[in-house]
Amino acid sequence: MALPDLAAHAERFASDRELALASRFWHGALHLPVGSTRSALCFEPGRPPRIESSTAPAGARDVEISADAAEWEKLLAPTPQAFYQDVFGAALHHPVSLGGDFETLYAYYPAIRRVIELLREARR
Amino acid sequence: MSPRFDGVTGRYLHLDVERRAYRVYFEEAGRGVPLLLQHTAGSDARQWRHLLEDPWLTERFRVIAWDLPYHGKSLPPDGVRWWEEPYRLKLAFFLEFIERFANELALERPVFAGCSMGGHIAVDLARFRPGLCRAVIGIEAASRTPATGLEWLDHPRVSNEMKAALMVGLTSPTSPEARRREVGWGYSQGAPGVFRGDLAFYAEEHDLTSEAAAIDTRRTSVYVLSGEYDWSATPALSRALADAIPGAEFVLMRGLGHFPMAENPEGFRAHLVPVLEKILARG
Repeated sequence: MALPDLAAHAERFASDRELALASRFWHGALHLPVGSTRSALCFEPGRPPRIESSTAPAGARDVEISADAAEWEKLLAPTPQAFYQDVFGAALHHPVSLGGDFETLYAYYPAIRRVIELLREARR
Repeated sequence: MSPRFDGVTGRYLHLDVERRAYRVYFEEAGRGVPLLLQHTAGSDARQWRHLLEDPWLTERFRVIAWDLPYHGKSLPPDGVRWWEEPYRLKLAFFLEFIERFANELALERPVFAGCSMGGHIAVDLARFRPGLCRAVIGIEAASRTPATGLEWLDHPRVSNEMKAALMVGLTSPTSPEARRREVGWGYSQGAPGVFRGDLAFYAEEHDLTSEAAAIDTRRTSVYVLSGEYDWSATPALSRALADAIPGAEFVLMRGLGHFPMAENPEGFRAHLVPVLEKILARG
């Protein structure tokens, strides 16, 4: 399993103080498709992030990180190999794609980084 | 109980560059061969604080780290309506700034070390000001580092938090978290357009592709150091630069990223000290 079951870690996402700060005012979602399976963390101001399994494409304030299962394994390794430590680095040098709304991607990059760190933690 | 000062002192130097008067903040420590330190794009001299407090270095070198104009405590100059135009760092200004700084302080054949854009200007100094420095150390240096998405680095709807996160992402996952976060802290504090403006030099103007082979390492020896986890000026790019300069040496720094001196001072020191020992031995 490349991605941990997001729903099983919903409480961890909801209680993380850094993620709460970094995602403030974000009304949108982070989509994490792996092959045909799509999961998303949905953010709404004043509420903890909601986990959804969705087939919907990324919306106006949404960001998407897509990679196949093998790439997700590398992204979420406890000590990632070179350039997998960051999704921008991974997208530049490895078959990892960043998509959706780029303004949101840049504005909420601290939140996106934190989600990846929490996913790494969940994999341990 | 007496105050606990460290050995670093800070002061301002008045410097004319390209016929404009700048008031430049710098910090220094130690005595010996001058060692000039250039910070990365969009940051300031605080990145070098660990080297400035390193007893081995300060017993052998007069270590000097400045805030380039528009960075840290070095304000934009008077006489420029800087609020009406985007800030852009240019190679000609950068070279003249360093040369005038060294001349003003009567620094004889200093060693120059810089990281990222500082690494780029290090090899530019060797090429365009041969003999000014006895040696240059280009940390995360490359012949050329084109980049995309620069417009997002100075965008009214994207805060400086993004720069901090992006730069933490350029550090190594094995570097201490407190140091990695400190790199981000520095990046969260620059004036919004300065990082983008520095990248005009780093990602757009700097290009030694056809010039690197002309560097004369008998006049200025060249060392290129590269962190394994640097996905911007990658180890492959740094190695290619060193290979293109006759007589240059390349050092791969395993387990380090784009900001070795700040993200993991101890790990960086293990690579830097042997290079400095070689430079001292050459005289």
